[in-house]
Amino acid sequence: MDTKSLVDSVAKKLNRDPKDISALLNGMTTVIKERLCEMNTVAIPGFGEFEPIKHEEEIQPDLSTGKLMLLPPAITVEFHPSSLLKRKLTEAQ
Amino acid sequence: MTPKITFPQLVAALCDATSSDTETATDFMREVFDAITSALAKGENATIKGLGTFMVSENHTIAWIPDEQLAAAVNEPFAFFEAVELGDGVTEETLSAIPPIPGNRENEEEKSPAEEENIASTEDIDTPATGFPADMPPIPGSNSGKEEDTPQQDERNDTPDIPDVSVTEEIVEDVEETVLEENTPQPSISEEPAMSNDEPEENAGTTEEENSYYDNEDEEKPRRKCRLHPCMTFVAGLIIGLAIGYFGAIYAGDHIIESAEALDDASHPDTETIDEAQLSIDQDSLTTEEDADTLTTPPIVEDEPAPYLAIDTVTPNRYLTTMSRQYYGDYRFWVYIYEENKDQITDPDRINPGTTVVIPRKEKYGIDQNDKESLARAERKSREIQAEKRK
Repeated sequence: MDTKSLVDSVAKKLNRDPKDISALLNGMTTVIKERLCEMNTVAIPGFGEFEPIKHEEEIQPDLSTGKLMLLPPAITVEFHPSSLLKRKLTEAQ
Repeated sequence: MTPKITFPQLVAALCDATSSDTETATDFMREVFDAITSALAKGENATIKGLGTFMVSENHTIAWIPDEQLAAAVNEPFAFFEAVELGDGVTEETLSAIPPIPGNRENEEEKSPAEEENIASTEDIDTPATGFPADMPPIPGSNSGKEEDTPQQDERNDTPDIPDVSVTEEIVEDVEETVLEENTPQPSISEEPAMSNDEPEENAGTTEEENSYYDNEDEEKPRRKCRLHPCMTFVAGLIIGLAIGYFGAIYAGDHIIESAEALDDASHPDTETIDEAQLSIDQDSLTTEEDADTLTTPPIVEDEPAPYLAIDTVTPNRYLTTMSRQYYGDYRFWVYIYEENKDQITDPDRINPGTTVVIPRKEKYGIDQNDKESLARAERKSREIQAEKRK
């Protein structure tokens, strides 16, 4: 499923114009991005959590060259699916 | 644990962003994630622009790859930095073993920007980036003589069995003993091992070790050359030579002053008498020999402690968190370095390489890596800075 099919699916269910849904989707992703940039965890009930995690600088070997590399600190986002989502997937399959 | 944004808060933010009502926003968000869940339940991947791609594996494991723009935006504070290749033998323990040192930019000014990029591995170990530890004994020596020794001294640092810090100390001991004999000519590379052999018995143990160490170096030299980049070797040796030269100049200067004073005392007694007479005219209290001696020599004014701990330079490999970790023992105190240099740093996440920053003293901001309150203050400050930036 891609963005377009998602927008069409939601527009059909909510009986709204796909353009409105597309604007809402853009707004939602923007809001989520802003909250994550502020180092806040975004929790979607029944779906999961998006958590920003700060990684400190560390020394790791480069897998391709084998040389030691000093990796700078970085912030990544991790998704933790909720137990309800996992159960739904298990029941469906 | 980071603060959590709940679903109602997310809905409220979406309403503000899109000028829609709460009910619409709530229904929309529920439908979106239900649709994603349905797709995943069917075994399909779901790609949402601006959010990322959700994938499910055969064992019902859910994976998520963030959207590129989302990942870049979240990592924006550290997007400026790049991974740096380290030299052989450098580990995290080695880097953390280096104590914080006061600043001194004399040695750094002689380095070109290109050299600075290549010495990331050796800089922290072989030579302090700015300044030298307060408790480090003065190292006598001169610049011109020592630069010839850099190849051999580089090899010292290459030996994996001996930590680089202890190697530096060995070099310090060697140079100290050499300069103590003032009339001894500056040793050349070949003479250094021989001179160390001629030292008193008490140094015999270390001398033998050094000789054997040199022997091992010769055997490993061809192999080492192949592994290390020649520029890094040369730059490392240059830094060592500059450091030794700096301390050598200080020690030699002090020694020369003491020698000059001794010579003056021995050869110019009349001068002292005249000075006494002059002083007695000027001030009644300065009539003793001690006072005259004191006045004939320039008063030694103790330098007041500098108002800052060090002066450092930002490079693509050296950022505020690195400096904070080096000088304060924890990367979180970078906020105080930013605070101290706010006039020239508009955005702490985007600092131009080559920017000179002042490292403030710990006492100024109550920096203590062992104090939880101090760490908590720093973290709060960091959040405030980030929030202020995004306004």
